[in-house]
Amino acid sequence: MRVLILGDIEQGKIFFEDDVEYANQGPFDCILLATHLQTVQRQHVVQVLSKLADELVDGGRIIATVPALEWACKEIAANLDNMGLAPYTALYGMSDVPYLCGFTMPWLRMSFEEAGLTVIEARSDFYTLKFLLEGDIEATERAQQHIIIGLWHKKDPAQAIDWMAENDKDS
Amino acid sequence: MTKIVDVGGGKGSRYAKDFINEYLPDMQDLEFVRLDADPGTDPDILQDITRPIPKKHCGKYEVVYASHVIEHIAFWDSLAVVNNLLSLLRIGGYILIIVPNLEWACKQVLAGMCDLSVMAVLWGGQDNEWMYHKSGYTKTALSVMAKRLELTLMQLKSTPLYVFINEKETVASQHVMLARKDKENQPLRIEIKPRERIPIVL
Repeated sequence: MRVLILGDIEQGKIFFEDDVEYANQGPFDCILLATHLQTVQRQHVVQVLSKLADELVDGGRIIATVPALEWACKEIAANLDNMGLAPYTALYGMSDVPYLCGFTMPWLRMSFEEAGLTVIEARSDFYTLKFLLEGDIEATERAQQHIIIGLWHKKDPAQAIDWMAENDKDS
Repeated sequence: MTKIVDVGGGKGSRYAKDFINEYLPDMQDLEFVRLDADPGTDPDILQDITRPIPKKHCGKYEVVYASHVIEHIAFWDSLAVVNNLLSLLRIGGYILIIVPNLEWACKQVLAGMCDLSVMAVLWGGQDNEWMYHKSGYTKTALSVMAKRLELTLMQLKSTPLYVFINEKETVASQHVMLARKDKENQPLRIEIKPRERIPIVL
């Protein structure tokens, strides 16, 4: 299985067996956007997913993990006087790569569907974030993420033209 | 003459005079000086606020007006940036900071109202390379900032923020903080990274 990972490469170990071939040129059987989609400008999210889907084999998949926006907002709203680092970094990131958008599960699902992907799995889970605080003190916090898997089927040329015309009309 | 420095307002902040009149009604005969990092706006002072302010500009102003500016800076750098801005003020001068209301945006998301105005409050309009938000502020975060910088907090309230999305006006929310500098601000030992510009993806 040929796999492309964008973002946190370490997440490859969670999603794939050992016998995968990590590649940087398509076609791919699977593209993993590992804590990456939120670094895309929001007006380009659907286009990015659509362009990536073009690099998949027929029946290929895109998996995306993103911080859960509704979880971050709930935590911030509930703890205004003592906001944790995890919900804040779920909105704005903590590395040199700033986050440019965020996703609730319905928003994420809609983005996949608008890109022509069929959502076959959508779930949320918790993971542990590590922070290095002042004085090199390591701290950990729990954070929630969304995981979504979209299936791609190549369209026949006639359908593809219709789809493009529809998108042009919307834009 | 009240000398006011309008920070990051490009060719001049649209509502600066209204805000000064509302929050500092005793200030008369207002003179605005524009400070910006974008040379394209032809500012009076061309300055990146993540860098220390040159001495020739320090202590010269009665008011620093920074409307929708500090949310464009990473949260980790914001304290040092505001400290830089304080060096523009004389002792007894005021800083007026306006930022999008983070708790409002969070509550909208939780209410299922996650529309483009909420996205704009959280991550900016994204219609040019400067219009990206790298941080968000609750009232608590602003008051903690004032305390850390040893400012006297005068007012902190939420007011409507009018956002234009697809040429339609929608009402969001913003925080307005007015604080007074009562003592000389000390340099902070916080390293600030050079301002990153957001690459255009497609």
